[in-house]
Amino acid sequence: MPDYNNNSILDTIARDTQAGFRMLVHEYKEPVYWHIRRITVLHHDAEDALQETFLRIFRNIGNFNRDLSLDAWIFRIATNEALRLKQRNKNSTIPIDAPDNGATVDRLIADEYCDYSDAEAILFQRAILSLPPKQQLAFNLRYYNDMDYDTIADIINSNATTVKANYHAAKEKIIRYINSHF
Amino acid sequence: MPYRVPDSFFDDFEDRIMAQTATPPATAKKKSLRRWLIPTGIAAAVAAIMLTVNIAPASLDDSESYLDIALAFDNLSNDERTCLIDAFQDDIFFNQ
Repeated sequence: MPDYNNNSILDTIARDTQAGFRMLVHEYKEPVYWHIRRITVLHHDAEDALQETFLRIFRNIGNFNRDLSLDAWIFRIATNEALRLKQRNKNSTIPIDAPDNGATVDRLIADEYCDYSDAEAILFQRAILSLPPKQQLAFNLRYYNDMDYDTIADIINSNATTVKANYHAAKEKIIRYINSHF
Repeated sequence: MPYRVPDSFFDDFEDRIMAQTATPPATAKKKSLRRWLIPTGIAAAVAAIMLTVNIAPASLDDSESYLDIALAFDNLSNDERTCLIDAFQDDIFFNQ
């Protein structure tokens, strides 16, 4: 159960930006962090992207159109920041549709804030990280954040049908990956 | 998920972010500079076009001409600026 709903956050921001923004950070910091972390894998990268995400939100919240979904707007900014940081660290420009070629999976091994004792969880994350980025995003936002296809489509700049196809393709690939590594 | 965070990472996150929003962002300076650069850049481009196609007053010497044209351009309305740029940006003499 959230402490604040989006309407009360936006109403407070309209009256007092600092107070409203604090409510927004309180409400979104954890889901946004975990979303970013699933993309960047490394905690320190996730922390950088999380800070930049909220600073960007702060700078632009005055222009937010209340007819749109606040969730989608925030997660879109977070997704862009995470992908930007991940690409910067790879020191090359990689389109969102490009295959991962294993580089991100390797980062899972390198992070100090990762629990390697849970072999099943590690295998599951490896399976997700082996997917193309759009399938990863569709799967993560649906599976972990329980978002509907329209909201996910808004976040990753796609349409609901494509997101649905990406999600189901991802699910199939994950099952096959786990079965082949078990 | 196998991921973890450092102890109390989320506890003080709000305070850290709020502290960063309290300091003036570095981009504010960039924005004000950009606000100045865009009209000046447009003015410079139009001045260059006007000088190239010899539509600037002949009496102006080089040092004064740019400034006068830039000032004159500042006094134009948006419609007039658009019209001027549209008229001269593809001028064949300019592209020779």
